[in-house]
Amino acid sequence: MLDHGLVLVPLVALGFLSPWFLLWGLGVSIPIAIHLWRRHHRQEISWSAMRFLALAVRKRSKRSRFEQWLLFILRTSAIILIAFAVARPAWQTLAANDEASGARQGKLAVIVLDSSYSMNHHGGEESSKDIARREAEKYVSDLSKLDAVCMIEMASPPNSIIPNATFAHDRIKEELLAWTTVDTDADLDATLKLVQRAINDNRARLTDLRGAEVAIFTDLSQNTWSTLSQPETLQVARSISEMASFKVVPCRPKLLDPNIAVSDLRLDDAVIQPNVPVTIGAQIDNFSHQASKPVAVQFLVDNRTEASRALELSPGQSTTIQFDWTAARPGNYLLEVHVPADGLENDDVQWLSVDVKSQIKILVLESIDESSKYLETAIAPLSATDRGFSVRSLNINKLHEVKLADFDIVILCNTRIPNDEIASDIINFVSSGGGLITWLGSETKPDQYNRFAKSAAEPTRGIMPFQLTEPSPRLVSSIDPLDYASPIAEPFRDFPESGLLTTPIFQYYKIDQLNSAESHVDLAYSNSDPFIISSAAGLGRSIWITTPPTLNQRDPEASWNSLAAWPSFVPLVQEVISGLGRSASVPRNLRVGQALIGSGQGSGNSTITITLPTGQESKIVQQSNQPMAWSFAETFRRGPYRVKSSQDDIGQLFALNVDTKESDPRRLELLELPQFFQSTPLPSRSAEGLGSDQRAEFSALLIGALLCVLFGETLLTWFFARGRT
Amino acid sequence: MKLSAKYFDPETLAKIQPLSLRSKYLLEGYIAGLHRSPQRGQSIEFAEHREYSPGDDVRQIDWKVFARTDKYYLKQYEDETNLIVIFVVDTSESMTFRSAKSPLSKLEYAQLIALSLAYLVLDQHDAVSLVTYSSKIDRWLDPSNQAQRWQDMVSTLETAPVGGSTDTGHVLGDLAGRLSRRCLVIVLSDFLDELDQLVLGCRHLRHQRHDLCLLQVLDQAEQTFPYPSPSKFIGLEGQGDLIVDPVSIRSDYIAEFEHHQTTLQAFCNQSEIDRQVFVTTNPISVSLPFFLARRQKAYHQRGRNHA
Repeated sequence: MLDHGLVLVPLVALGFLSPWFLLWGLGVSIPIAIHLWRRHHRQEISWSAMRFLALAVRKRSKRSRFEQWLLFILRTSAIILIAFAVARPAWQTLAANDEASGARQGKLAVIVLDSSYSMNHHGGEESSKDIARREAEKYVSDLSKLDAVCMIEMASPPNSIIPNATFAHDRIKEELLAWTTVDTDADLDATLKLVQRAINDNRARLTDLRGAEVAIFTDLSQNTWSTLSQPETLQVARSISEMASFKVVPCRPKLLDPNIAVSDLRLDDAVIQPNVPVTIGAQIDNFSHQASKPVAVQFLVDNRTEASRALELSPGQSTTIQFDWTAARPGNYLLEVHVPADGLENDDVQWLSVDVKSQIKILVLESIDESSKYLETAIAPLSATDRGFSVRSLNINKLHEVKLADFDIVILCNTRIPNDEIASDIINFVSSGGGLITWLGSETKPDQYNRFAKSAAEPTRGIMPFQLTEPSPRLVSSIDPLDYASPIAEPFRDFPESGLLTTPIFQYYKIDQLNSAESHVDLAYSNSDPFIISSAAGLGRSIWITTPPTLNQRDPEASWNSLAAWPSFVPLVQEVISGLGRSASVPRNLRVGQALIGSGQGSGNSTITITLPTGQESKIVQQSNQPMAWSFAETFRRGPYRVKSSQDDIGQLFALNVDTKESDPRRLELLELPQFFQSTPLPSRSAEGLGSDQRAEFSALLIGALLCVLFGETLLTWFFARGRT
Repeated sequence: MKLSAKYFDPETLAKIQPLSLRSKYLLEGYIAGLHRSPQRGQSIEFAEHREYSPGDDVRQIDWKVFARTDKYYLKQYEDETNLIVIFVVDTSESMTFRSAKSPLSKLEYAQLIALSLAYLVLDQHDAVSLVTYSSKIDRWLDPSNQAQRWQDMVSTLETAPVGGSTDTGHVLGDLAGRLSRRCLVIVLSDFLDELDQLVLGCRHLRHQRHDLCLLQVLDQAEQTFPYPSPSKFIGLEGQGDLIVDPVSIRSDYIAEFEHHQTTLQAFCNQSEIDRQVFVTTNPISVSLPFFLARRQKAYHQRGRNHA
């Protein structure tokens, strides 16, 4: 590069499509070697007529030397021409030499590295990742300096390592050396869309790039590549193939080492209390094609071994091991189950973040005093603190007496919403992770409740996924369990005598259609109108029940239902609260790649510190007096993530686990991919800019020159020989 | 096998015995034989008449002619005289050359010719002499017509030193200084050295009216230069060495060689020197009788011209 910044590029690029055939050119050394050998091994003759020989040599030497050199040049030229011709030379005239303007004649090479964790599966001492890195380095080395390269990581979600194509291939190699896999699977669809965008962006930026090639280095795991069967993904791939050629490089060891995985870790109990035994189920899978040796499955709590079980699995077998555990005191615990390290270590462990609470605090808000007494009884049938629930009833007009953040669940029991301030407090409570149960009824005013509704203008503020319309006419209806698909309905499946289906319902609030994808109907009336609706809202959840848990004492005939008097009432309330408890709090157990989410206290500046499994720390600074949600999306490693706020001494513990679908060792063959994935890649080196016709012309030119040389050599040999005779 | 036995090849000699060796010119000799003597008056064979001049011997006047013509003519006679043949054999290093296709070296071939011819000469009771040389005269046998002389020649040829460079011209000059009588000098050599010196030597001998016969013994390889591949040629007489490609140089070599031969032949024709080329690959039983027959034919032609 010159001082003034211009990059000098040769005007003509010459290269070879089969450079190894240039070794034929070494054939030139053969006549030279023969000459040197014969020089040292030539025959010696004692000669009498030296006088005539000397005279002849003196006369002949100049001409003879010229003839011999001429023939030597012709013969070596013939050999070199043969070598050049079979090496398929190609040349290209370059238009300009300014890199900044993109005036290059190279191609755009998009390197896609499969970074899903299955690439770590070893076969012997080498993993798919090792092979991919080696193949990618070789690919980069084979590129011409005129080729621009960008690099994309195929993961979930995919990531552009080098979004802007660069001619600095050394940088690509440095990135390859630094490249590591993540603990996610690979989202092929999102990756292809990213590739498509990268091609479009870079070709718009470097306008003279003549073509594009997408080089994918992958283990072709079935989990990733089977998504090509989806029409949308296939369409993206096809559209890429119309503007670029694919070069899929399978990177996998011939034989994979055995792999035992911990696929799932779950707690059946929604609420965990101190000194109450709970059962943890760990699903263990053998993904190998051979029976496993006995392996020790270990159960740890906060890195302390609690139990260990020996396990032997047949090929493909999946089993669940149960561990019993009792928490001694409230707190946040990290449960861990792991198997010994094997061919794929990423799936050898699963974690579970568990909150042990001594009590779940519930606030019941009502408009009419004691209207919620049946509900209180249903929540804690034996006492106010039964089963760890602490229930407090309060007239909604006195809400200012309490702090909503001190409660885990708020229940609106057939109540009005007196003002916007209260509505806003409730929305903030739910959005920051609280649970809300709303029983609609005679006191419910649609115009007041519709403040909660999600709107197109502010969808994230709404906690109610519908608009209230009006109470239904009087009727007699029963309950449709909707196949007991909901967690709330599911426990009733085996207990028809509980009376859920026969609960008398006379009136309920009608709603318009659900407007949130995160909402669903748990139970319905016999006319299909919703009875119970669950919905996610911000970091929290809400459950909407369209008929109240009350009886009209003054006019029983005017009651909306007989729910409170029916045997299904108590279990129904319990399941509603339990269902909310399972999901009301901030989700702490996630898949790798899912964002961590939480909310700040909303009292000025605060810093959220996130300690990653690798020990690194990441900080989020908030500046707001309102509780604000935060999220952290760089969750590409499995393991515990510890979150601590500068204003909150109590930290939060998140557990991120791999999805063991990626552990499936089944691989596709290249031939199983659509045809355009097997298209011939653009040629590398400096010859890549030429079409096959142009290459053929050049080769033909050389062959023509070769024939001329051979003819000339024959003619001259004959002519010189005639001169001698 | 003794050299004498090799040289005295019965088959070879049987083929050449019917032929006789005759000089083209009249020679002085000890005995009257087949060879004419230039010394007139002592022989009984009439040669010619010559008109009388004052001072002539009156005993030689042919009175019968005077009776018929009334003029004085003298009778002149030719003497039959002995022939002295001197074989001059080149024993220099170049004569040892023998190519792969040749059964004999040039020297061996020359020795065989010399001994064969000497045998014939002695058989005619003429005298033979032998000289061997390289750059100078190495051996000398005086002329003799005794049968023993042939054996002497054999032993001399066997023991004569072989090697060194050739200087035929100088040797012939030296030889001319030593000869007191006219002789037939037969030189057996390859005559591959400089012609200038050779010409001087030959002229010296011819000036003294010696009959000179050059028998040039060559190997066929020296004529055709048949080598196919580049080789290192080492001069036999210390001329150094040359690495050449015979194929590329052959035509020029042959041209130079032929030029030498042509020049030599032209000189021989001009100086009335008999020259014959012998090639070692040709059998002596063919080439030697051919040589003798050619000489005899030339002798008779000459006799008729004189008559």
